[in-house]
Amino acid sequence: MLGHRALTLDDYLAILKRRGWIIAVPAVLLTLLGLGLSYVVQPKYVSQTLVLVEQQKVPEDYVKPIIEEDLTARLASMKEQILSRSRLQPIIERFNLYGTKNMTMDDRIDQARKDINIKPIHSEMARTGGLPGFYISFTASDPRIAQQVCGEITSLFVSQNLNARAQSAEGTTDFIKGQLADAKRALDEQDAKLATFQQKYMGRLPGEETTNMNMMTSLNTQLDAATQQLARMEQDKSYVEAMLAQQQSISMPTAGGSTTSVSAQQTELQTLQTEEADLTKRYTDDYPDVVAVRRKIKDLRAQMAATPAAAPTSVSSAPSRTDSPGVQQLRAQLKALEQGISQKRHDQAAIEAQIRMYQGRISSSPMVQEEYKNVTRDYQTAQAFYDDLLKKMNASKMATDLERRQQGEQFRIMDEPNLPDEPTFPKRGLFIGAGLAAGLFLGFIIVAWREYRDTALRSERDVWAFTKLPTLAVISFTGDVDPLKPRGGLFGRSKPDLPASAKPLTDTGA
Amino acid sequence: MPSFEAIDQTPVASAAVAEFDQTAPFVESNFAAAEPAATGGLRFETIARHPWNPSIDKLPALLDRGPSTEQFRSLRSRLYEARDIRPIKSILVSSGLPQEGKSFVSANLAVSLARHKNARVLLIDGDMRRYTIHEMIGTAPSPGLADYLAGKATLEEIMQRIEEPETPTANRSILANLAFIPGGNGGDRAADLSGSARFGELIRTVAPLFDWIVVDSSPVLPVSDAVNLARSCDGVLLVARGGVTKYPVAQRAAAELKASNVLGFVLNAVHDAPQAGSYYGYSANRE
Repeated sequence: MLGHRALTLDDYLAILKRRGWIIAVPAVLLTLLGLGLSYVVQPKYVSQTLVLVEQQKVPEDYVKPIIEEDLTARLASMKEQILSRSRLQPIIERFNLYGTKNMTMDDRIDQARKDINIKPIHSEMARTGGLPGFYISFTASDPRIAQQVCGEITSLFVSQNLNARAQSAEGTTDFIKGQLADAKRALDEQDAKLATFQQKYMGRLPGEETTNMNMMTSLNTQLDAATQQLARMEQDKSYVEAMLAQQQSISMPTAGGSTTSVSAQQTELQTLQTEEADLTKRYTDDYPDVVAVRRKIKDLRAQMAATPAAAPTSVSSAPSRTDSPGVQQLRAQLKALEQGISQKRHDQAAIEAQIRMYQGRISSSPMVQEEYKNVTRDYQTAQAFYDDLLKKMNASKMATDLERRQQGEQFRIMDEPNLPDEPTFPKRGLFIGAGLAAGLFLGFIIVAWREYRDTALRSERDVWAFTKLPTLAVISFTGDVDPLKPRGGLFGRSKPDLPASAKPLTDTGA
Repeated sequence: MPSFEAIDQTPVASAAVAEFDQTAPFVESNFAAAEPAATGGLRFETIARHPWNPSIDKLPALLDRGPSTEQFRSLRSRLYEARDIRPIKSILVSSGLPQEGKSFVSANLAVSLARHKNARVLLIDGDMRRYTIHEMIGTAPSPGLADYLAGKATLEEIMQRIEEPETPTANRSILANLAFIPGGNGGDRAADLSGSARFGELIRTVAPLFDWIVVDSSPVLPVSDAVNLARSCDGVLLVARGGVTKYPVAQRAAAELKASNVLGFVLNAVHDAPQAGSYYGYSANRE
């Protein structure tokens, strides 16, 4: 009646009571089948080992590890390498894995890959993204082979990890070494460039402006002093000349008044020229003092040109026997003064040359500064790069040394592969349970199907549901013979009566 | 349990009821007052007696106690309840298909009715093709209903009672109130015979003599005999065999008889039927 009308709990119980055997039989049979299969199926043993990943022993603040790749990724890459044909085939051949199954080498390798299981373990101790370790297990039909192969694969992992780390460390160091050599070469070039520049622009480099300015000030002071001294000496010379002329005129009165005035004019002209030179050093040609002095010189020259040239009765400096000792002394003084004046003039020219040099330096310094900046910037960049590489190189050397001393991160086998004492497959209980479940499921499906197909009336509820007529009585079955046994055709004659004792129980009617 | 008021009142049923137009509740017939003229001079006492050899196995209602006895008592009570609602005397027992237990139910219902208050019951084997009730009672199958309907036998010839016992037994005293009309050999003529008006006349003739008339019949789906006979009866009981009768068959059987007063179903041969009888360990009293 399933699916033909809404069933109550009583209906379900009735179905269960009526068809319980249909559920029970497959349940029992499939349970027995499961039990039988658990004896027939080839057992599988799993040997497992725990490999812990030990962190490096030196704190990372001191030595940074070279390999910073996530362990999971490294594990995956190692797994790929270890599960490669070249690694697995020798193991398969040595232990004759799956040799009895008539499989090709490719199939055997595929099977071995399936039987190797690598499972990372997560724990609270693990660093972020890191793992404290992983399990390696191998499944085989023989416990000893499972243990041996598991050990073999574990050692492969450990050695692979060591090799990978060492190679990585050395590779890093070599690479940085090469980079460092290049950087050093570049730095040396920059160094030479800077030295050349500094040599070329000595005194004009940034930072030397103050020195130049100080030198300029000091030289100007010296020039002023030299000019003043020269003027004094010129005056002294004029005085001595005057004195000498006076002495000579006393000794030989042939003197003309004009001579004195001419020499005085010359002296004044010299003074004015000196003053002009002095002023033009400091001022431009338009400066009023310069213009005034030049005008005076011009006037004086005109005056001197207008004055009839007197016989050059200049004070003879040439000594003569007739000279008195006073004259001789004056002559000596004059000589000394002339020498002094020429010396001072020479000094003055030297100072002026120096001043010009310093002025040139100061004026060209901005252009040099810009060029200097470019040169130093390149140099500093090269220097920083070199320093950085040098630091890395040192760190890499330390890390390599750390790996060499086995102080870095490494795999440590915590548990040696165990020798499994009972198979992990087939689990007898599981097989029995699965058989029972499958049997019950099958039984329920059959019962459901049969109940769906069964449209026979069985209870008052059925009668009412389908005919909407009441059930006046429910008569129980009392016979133990087949009530549906045909007794001739519908239109056939009934058989002769039988004695009561020989008649079957019939609640079957006709 | 639905109310009987829900049952359709068909014209035919109404016509049948008109004959028993009495005030409810229905009262037992006063046989002494029954006019012999109305019954064609037939009286219960004059019905021919025959040696019967009833089979207890086939008539479990004969037993004082037992599940079947109680279940048929229960059925009897329901019929009395139905009679309280509307007059019912003649009941046709049918089913959708053969082999569903019509004859078993008819015979045992008749026995159960006969046990109650000495009610007089007429059991008619209306299945003129495969008549079997005579086997349960242990008597000859003919002359029977087919012979009467064919005009080959009179009512007195086909009706029979159990012969007086030399040593009274419980069963025989129960069966004393039971009269029986065997099926007779209708054969291929059964359809025509069942459509004959003589069956209605028979019912009307014997009705005053009995409290209940139980008519066994053929299944309704393969042949039309039962539908024909049902027209002359006050109510129809449909038998369904538990776990065998398909609901479409039951539906079609009920549809075939929709013109009659279908009282309800009797679910027969049910495994794990609700057990009547030993109520709190006490046996039912003898009636």
